[in-house]
Amino acid sequence: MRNSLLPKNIQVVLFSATFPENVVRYAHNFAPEANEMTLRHEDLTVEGIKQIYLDCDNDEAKYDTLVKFYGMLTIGSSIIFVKVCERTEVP
Amino acid sequence: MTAEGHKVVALTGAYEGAQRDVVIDAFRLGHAKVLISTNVLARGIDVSSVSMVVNYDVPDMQTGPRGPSVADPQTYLHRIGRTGRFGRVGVAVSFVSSKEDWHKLMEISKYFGSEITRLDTSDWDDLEEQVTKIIKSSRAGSNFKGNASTQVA
Repeated sequence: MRNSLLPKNIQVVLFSATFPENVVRYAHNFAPEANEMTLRHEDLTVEGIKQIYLDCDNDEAKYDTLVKFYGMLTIGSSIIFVKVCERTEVP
Repeated sequence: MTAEGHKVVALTGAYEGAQRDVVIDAFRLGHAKVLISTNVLARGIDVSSVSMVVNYDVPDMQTGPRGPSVADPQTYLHRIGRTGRFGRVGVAVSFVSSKEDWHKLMEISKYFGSEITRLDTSDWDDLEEQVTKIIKSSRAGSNFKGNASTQVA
């Protein structure tokens, strides 16, 4: 696409914190001989973010854990990420 | 969540542009404190006051139409990167409800070489103390060093 429709002298710049393997391959094709600046995976996570996990007995128990967890803390704004759309419904 | 007294808004890929903006504005302005979202939104939300991200499900992806699902470190990173913006502190909590979940999360931890700490849920008083301690220690860690942290776009 790039070869046929775009002017020859444009500069192609691609940014992301995370390039999966297939995108890396695509990028090499899309922007050949480009200068690359990459971080090692290990350098990607932010120091200020403390990462924890909680065990839940099963999928259904997650909701109780969520409510308990929120009841426990006074937090500012937060985002809850879920996998499927139905779960975002506000009851 | 609403029944528990939380001011919640939800966002999915089904929302159109204008509708989506209304929801995000409500969240940005603090009218709603909790935003529930799918992966669609993992990228691009930039609300600086987000102090916690919950992974209700461990991020995974399907390998091929009938392939097994595997850990998705990229999505994990983009999700947790919604907190801790501009050198602020944030907490990322993941819910693990099966052995598979646990394996995927450990895979993610290994991928980034970063520690994801298990907190015991059998004693909630103790848990509260631990989380409070974590929030305080990470606050000291990032705010007083004044280091420029990596920003996930």
